[in-house]
Amino acid sequence: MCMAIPGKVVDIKESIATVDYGSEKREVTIMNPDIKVGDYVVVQNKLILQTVPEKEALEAIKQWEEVFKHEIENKE
Amino acid sequence: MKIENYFLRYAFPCTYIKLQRKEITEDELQDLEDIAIHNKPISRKRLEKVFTKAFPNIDIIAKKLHKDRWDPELMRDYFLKYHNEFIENGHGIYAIAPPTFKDICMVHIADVTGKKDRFLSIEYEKKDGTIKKRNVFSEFVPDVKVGDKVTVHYGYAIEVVK
Repeated sequence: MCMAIPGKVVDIKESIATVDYGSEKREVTIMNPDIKVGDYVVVQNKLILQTVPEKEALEAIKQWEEVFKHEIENKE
Repeated sequence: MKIENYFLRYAFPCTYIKLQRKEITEDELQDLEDIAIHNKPISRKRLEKVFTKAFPNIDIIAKKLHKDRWDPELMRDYFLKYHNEFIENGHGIYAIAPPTFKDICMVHIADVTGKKDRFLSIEYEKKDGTIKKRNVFSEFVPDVKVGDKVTVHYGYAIEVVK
C-alpha cells in the first residue's frame, strides 16, 4: 500500500497544468475542465486523477514530511 | 496470466509514488510498465525488491491462511479484499491518512462509462452511497468496452471482471 503525494496547481495553459510539489514542478494533462489554479491534485503518469480538498492535501503533505524526516533520521 | 504479472499490474500504480520519492528511476518505471502491459517475464525477487511495502502485508494474510505469499488465490484475495481492509482499518501510513487518499488507494470495482484514446471514464459507488467518477488509464485492459466492469487502483484499470 502506498499513499499518494499531492501537489498544487500553480499555472494552467489550455489543457496543461503546472503542478508544484515544493521541491519540484511538473507539467500534467488536464481532462477535467473544472480544475483551476490553487487546486490540490493527485497526479499519475502526467494525468490529474482528481482534486483533493485543501485541508486533506495539507494533512497528507504534513504526514509525508514526517515520513521523510523519520527516514532521514534513521539513515543518519 | 502468471501470478507475478498479476501482482505487478495491481502494484504498478504505486511506482509513480516511488518515482516521486526517488526510490526508483524513470527508466525502471518505463521498464516495469512495458513488462506489465505486455506480460513479459519478471522474477519474484525483483518484484519483492521494488515493492517492499506490499509484502509484509501480504505475509500477514499468508500466515493467517497458511499459504505462500505467491499463492495465486491468496494474491487475488489480497488485492480484491484484504488490501482494502488494511486501508480501512488504518494500517501503517493509513492510520492518519485523509479519506480522499484512502479512497484513491483502494481497489474498486467500477463501471466503464466512456472510452477515449488511452483513457477510460469509470464510476463506482462509495461506502457512503455516493457515486465517484474518475478517469483512469486503459493500457492494461485494451479490449474493454463501455458497460464492462473493471477493477481500478489509483489511475489504472487493472482487469475486467464479470
